[in-house]
Amino acid sequence: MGLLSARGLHALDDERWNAYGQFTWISSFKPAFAAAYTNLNGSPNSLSPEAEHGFTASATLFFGLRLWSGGELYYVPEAISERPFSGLHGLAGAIQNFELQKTGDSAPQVYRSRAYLKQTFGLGGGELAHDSDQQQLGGRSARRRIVVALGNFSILDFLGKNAFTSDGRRQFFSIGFMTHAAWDFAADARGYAWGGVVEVTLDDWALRLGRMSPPVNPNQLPVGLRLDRYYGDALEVEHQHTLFGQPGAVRLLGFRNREVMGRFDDAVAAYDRDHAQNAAACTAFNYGSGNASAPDLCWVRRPNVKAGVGVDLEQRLTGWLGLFARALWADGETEVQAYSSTDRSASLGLLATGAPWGRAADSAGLALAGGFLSQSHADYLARGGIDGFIGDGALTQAAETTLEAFYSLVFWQALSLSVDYQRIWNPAFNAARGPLHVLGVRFHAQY
Amino acid sequence: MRSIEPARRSDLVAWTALGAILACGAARAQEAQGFALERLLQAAPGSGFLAHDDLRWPAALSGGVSLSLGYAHAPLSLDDGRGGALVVVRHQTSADLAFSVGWDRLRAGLRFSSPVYVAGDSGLALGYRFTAPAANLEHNPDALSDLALSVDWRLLGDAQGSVRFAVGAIAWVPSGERSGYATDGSWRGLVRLQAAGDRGPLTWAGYLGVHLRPLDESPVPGSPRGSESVFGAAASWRFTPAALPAGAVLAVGPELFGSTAVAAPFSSVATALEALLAARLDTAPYAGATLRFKLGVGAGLHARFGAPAWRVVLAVELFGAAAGAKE
Repeated sequence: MGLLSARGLHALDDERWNAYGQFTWISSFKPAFAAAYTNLNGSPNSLSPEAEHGFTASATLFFGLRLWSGGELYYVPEAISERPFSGLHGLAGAIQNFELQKTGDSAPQVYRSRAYLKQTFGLGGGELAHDSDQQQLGGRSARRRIVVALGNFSILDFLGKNAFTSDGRRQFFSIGFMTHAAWDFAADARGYAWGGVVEVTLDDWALRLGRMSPPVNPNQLPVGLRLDRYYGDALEVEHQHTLFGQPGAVRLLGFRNREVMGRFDDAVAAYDRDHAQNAAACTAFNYGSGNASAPDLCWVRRPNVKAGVGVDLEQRLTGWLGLFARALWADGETEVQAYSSTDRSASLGLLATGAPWGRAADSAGLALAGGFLSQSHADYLARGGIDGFIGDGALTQAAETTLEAFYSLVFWQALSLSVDYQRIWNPAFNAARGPLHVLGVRFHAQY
Repeated sequence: MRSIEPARRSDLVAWTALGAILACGAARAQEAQGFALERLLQAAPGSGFLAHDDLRWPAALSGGVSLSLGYAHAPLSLDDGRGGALVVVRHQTSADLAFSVGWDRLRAGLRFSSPVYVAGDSGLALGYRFTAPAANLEHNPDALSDLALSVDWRLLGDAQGSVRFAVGAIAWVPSGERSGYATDGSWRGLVRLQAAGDRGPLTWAGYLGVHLRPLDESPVPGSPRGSESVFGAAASWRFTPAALPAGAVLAVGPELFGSTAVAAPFSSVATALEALLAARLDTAPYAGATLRFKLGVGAGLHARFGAPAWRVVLAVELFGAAAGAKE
């Protein structure tokens, strides 16, 4: 778009349309690690202790079109090819690559990630300039405004964002840093959903409310569009501030999902009442466990509610260094529907640009994330139960912890090459397995 | 215990034998797979027709976007061999978003098509078992059918010329599910010669080409038989009724298009032919861009091989030259 603008063929500050694209390739290697047991008694969700190589390659086009005053249409087709570690089993919020999808395959899959309408209603308070970018038409809007988005998108396009840690294509690799690991936001197996978001911005304050479609079966692609019956609701309040002359923001997030999902204590009780209701015997939707001595969620799926609250902080410390911190507590009584098996999560990290060493476009990050289980979830896993991602057949409960460090070399603003190291303790919350190292490389191009 | 009368017993034996024969037949029936069923080749945004190209993109850098919604009724209806019909695809609704960029004599296009609602009946036809597609926004929330990449090169004539000739190509990148009748599961291509021209208020267009299609599922009824010849012709008349706002233009005309398998040209089972009555309304250009609405209603003149019993297409387009461009 900049090229067209430079030739006088496009107005970047008052766009009627724009088109951007990106390509990201992430390669991960996991050396062999120690594990007291793997897939015990036929439970199939352990991370393999053998050395593994995984990758993702994604390509995305972003189209934006201004339909009328304040009305914008965005359409985002995407293709992905991937190979996860161990069939994307054995890790909860510590999954090492945020791009991995539950229905992915090494053969490229093409899909429409987003198609939505965004309408902005100005409420005055002066003007604010918006740069031309992916899913953002260059232009101006009122500082005080109401934005309504309807259609097919990810709720993470609007809520749960943090300037220092939400962009997995340029910042941290792990899903534990993309948003709250314990926020089981409603989405299909790729992370997208149908629904709506309302955002009200009044000077330093912003309030965002969204209702999105959940999957029909946990972690699968089909979604339920009866948003009056099953839904994922989220509410976020944000306050932007200046502390010691540096900008920052604090966000409170609450979510409540009503979805068809199993409660861990119901599954255990069903098995204790009747051992025929075990993980190997269920013929309804299940994750293929062969453990006949374990409970399983598939016997007890019915409409249930999952809720949680969290806090998010971002604070610029200097012109080149930023800090983020997040924590979220969810009730942890029900199985993972969309994001990760984590019930409570906390993360803390630093993101720096390369300005002090003369490479201002480069970035480097260091962060720590911890994930925790609810007691009922831990009891279920200890009895050999599995959910969409984890379940070793037994459990020595501990916090799943990730330490991640990366460095991104940026060339000509459009290309970056990153190296990444992750150390993961207690994969799938199990102290009997691990720790492990994950080495990663990322190539990213965008225009 | 109740006894069964001899006459009823013989009926029972006969029905049981028939049932067994049908069951054996059903068990032996080969499973037919889906394929890219859509026959309507929608024109790039900015074209004055729905299924043809008037080849009038400007010489300056230009672009267009269109959003269309189409419904085809019974595009895959088969004789079941028992005097009836099996409508494997009864409803085919899709939404297309297309983009085009033109510069000088070249124009490139990109079209994304999403199945909105595709449904029909499962059953047996001529010894093959067909499974009805079941695509909708709940089951396939993010599905895309084959992506169409196109390029056209206007060889002769300019945008305002009385006669224009072009050569064009389309490549379809496989996407979506064969079971949803959205794709062949393999790359396809099309090359064609196109012509268009104007004579007073009349605009005409036509094309002749080859659809390079590796998939050959013959003799499965209704299924692709390899590469196809494609053809079409269209005309429209421009009006400016007094009731329209100043600068607006209305155009109405017929469009006729079809395809036939190269291996069995113009055979009844491997030829599709349909017609549309199309209308378009152009609003007055504003800030260099024109907003255009299109509506087409048509029927299959030979409703086989993917041509539906009837169809409706509605499109909204926005197109124009880039800001600052000079003709």
